[in-house]
Amino acid sequence: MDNTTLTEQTAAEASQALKGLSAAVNEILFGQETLIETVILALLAGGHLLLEGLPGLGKTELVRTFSKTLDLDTKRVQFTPDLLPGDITGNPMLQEKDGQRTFVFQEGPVFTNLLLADEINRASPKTQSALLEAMQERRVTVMGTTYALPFPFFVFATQNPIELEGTYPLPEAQLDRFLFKLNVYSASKETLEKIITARTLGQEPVVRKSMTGEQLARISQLTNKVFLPEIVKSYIARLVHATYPNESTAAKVIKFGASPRAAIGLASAARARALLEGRIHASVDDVRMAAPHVLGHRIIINYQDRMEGVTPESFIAKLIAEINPEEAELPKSLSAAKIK
Amino acid sequence: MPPSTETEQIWMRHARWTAWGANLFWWMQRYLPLFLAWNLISAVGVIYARQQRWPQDVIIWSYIGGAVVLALIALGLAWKRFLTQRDGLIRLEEHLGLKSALSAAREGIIAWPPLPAERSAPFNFNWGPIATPISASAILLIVGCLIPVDKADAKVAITNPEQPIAWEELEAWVEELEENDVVEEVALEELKEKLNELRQQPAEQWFTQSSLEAGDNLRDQTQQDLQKLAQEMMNASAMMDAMRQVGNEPFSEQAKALDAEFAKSLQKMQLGTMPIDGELMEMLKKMGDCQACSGIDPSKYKLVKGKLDKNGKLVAMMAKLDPEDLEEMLLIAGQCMMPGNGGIDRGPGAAPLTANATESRVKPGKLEAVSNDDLRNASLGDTIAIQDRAPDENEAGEAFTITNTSGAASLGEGGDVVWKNELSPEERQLLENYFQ
Repeated sequence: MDNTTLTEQTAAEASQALKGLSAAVNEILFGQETLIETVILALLAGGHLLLEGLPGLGKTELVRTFSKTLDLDTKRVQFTPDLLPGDITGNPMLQEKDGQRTFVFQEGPVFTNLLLADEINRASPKTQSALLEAMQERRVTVMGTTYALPFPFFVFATQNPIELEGTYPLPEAQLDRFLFKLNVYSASKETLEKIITARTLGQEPVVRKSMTGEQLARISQLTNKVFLPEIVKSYIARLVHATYPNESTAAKVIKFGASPRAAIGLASAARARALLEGRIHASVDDVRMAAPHVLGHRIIINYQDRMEGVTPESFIAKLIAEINPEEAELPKSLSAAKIK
Repeated sequence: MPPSTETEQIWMRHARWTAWGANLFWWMQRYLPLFLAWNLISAVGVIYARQQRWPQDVIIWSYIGGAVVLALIALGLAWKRFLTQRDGLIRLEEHLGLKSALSAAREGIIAWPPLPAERSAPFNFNWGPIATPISASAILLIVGCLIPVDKADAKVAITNPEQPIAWEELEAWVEELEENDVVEEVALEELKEKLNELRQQPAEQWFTQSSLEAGDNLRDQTQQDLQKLAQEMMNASAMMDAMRQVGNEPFSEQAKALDAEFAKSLQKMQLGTMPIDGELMEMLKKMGDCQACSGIDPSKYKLVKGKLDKNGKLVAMMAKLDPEDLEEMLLIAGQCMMPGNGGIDRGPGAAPLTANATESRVKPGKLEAVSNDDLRNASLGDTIAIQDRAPDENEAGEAFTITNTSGAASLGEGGDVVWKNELSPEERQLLENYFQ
């Protein structure tokens, strides 16, 4: 596969490979097709993921399955209140060699391709912030020395929405580093039946390898070449701008809107989805699909409206309904019709 | 499949139509409220125009003109909201689920996608905001065109509405009298002079109490004069008829009386504040006695009589004589001249068998005329009218009287006197039944 140019053929090949990846993960995780597809989008866009859900819903299993099927180096850190930044980034160790004592940097678990940060909100803010540089700049600085992280590098963090005692909510700056925040929901009755049939307690499922890390990196590079038409750029800009307080009817409930990083993330996610579907250009539909995952954790809703039941999901649904792809509005006597 | 350039052209054309379609609705959104308001005004205007009897062309063109001006204003208001061809293209790709393929093709990234097999509207139409003002407008216009109106009477055209209405009326009378040569010019000049005197006051005093009162007095006085003249003219006309009837016996008492009455009437017409036109007066004077009247050429008689009647009616109408009063006046004039119909000067001769040709409303009761064409069997005392009227408060029962020809009524004798004159209808009926 040529990784320098993006043609309709290479896009189709990439799409085929990604569908293979999706199928391999779906063989292990049942009833999570949308979640798996969104995780693949995050991998293509080179973004980090924050998974939120109750214990036992398969968050860790999802990450482990991806690491196995992609043949990526994976490390897992269980975040606890006594975890120190050095426990993540690594520490300089005093070593004696040839009669001389020197500090040798001992790499922490962050030096991996896929880092699973389990229950990230249980660590102290100091430890949480140790991940900031790693996530944004893909490097770590310890005692004045900067160390580059391996490529690709992804952080898949999980957090539990209950049992909030003794937890430290992630600061906004930290949240902004995550491309997507995904909610993991309980399985349906049919899915549970499948799980019971296929899995036995204490037995690890066998994961089929579908793609190498290099292949993923090449496809990820192709993602950056997906064309973003003017209308899509304009739509992303208007959508993000409309999250600012009082910039749209929907944004009356907003205290703080999404950052420019959100716009960049939205564009990357739209590109990734286009490639996943074998297209060489992104569309407004791609933006609409990615918007809830990209914007949801980047906006802050007024306290009063939050108490009245306004959620990020409901706000974004209203926003998408309000902002038209075309800049011009339609008269009241007309509404957009779509062939299904 | 058409070649790529042709496909592009077709897509672009569809995009243009889509934009125009949306723009049409934008324009309607701006125009329809104005249109509704215009129709509301037009409905009122149409009612007014119908009252004023304006020509239909003026009404229709005014309506169309206003509607066109408002349409242009709406276009100006809607302009900045209009969709471009690019917007139309986006709407199309959204509608067809092409995932921004048309936008990408427009930017030369991919080939133009194939055209859809079937075309469908890229919008859902909400007809409520369009249909409501249109139907309301139609209803308003229909109401404006069909509602019954009282048409304004344009008989007396008020030329200068800034002066008091009494002056206007006087002016109109003078004009009318001059036009028809009804009265002497000198009298009219006098009237004009009086009117001018009123006008010569400063304009700001025209509507003061004293000025308005003076104008009203002059009008009322003139109206009374005209009424008198009209009365005299009717009287003279009726006398001319009578004179012509008795023309065969010019030296009879009746003829002499009529001659004297006619001369008196002419004198009144000549010496009144509003004297009759000199020419007509001369002609009337020539017929001044019964002999002359009967001997005159019938066509000339008709001419003079016709002119007198015509002028009389005109003056009566101008002077706003009540039609009932006018009718009564004519009736009395006619009856007074007829022999056998009462009055101290009534002459001999048989009474006609009918009082009038038509029903009369002169008296408070209803008087129906009856006639007897069989003159050979008619005689004095025949019933000529039946009257049915509301009873007086002293009368018992229904006041049903039979009028006999004058002077022929008999009170009867003996018992007749009783049942004819003193019994109520019930008593009379009882008595009659007893004797039967």
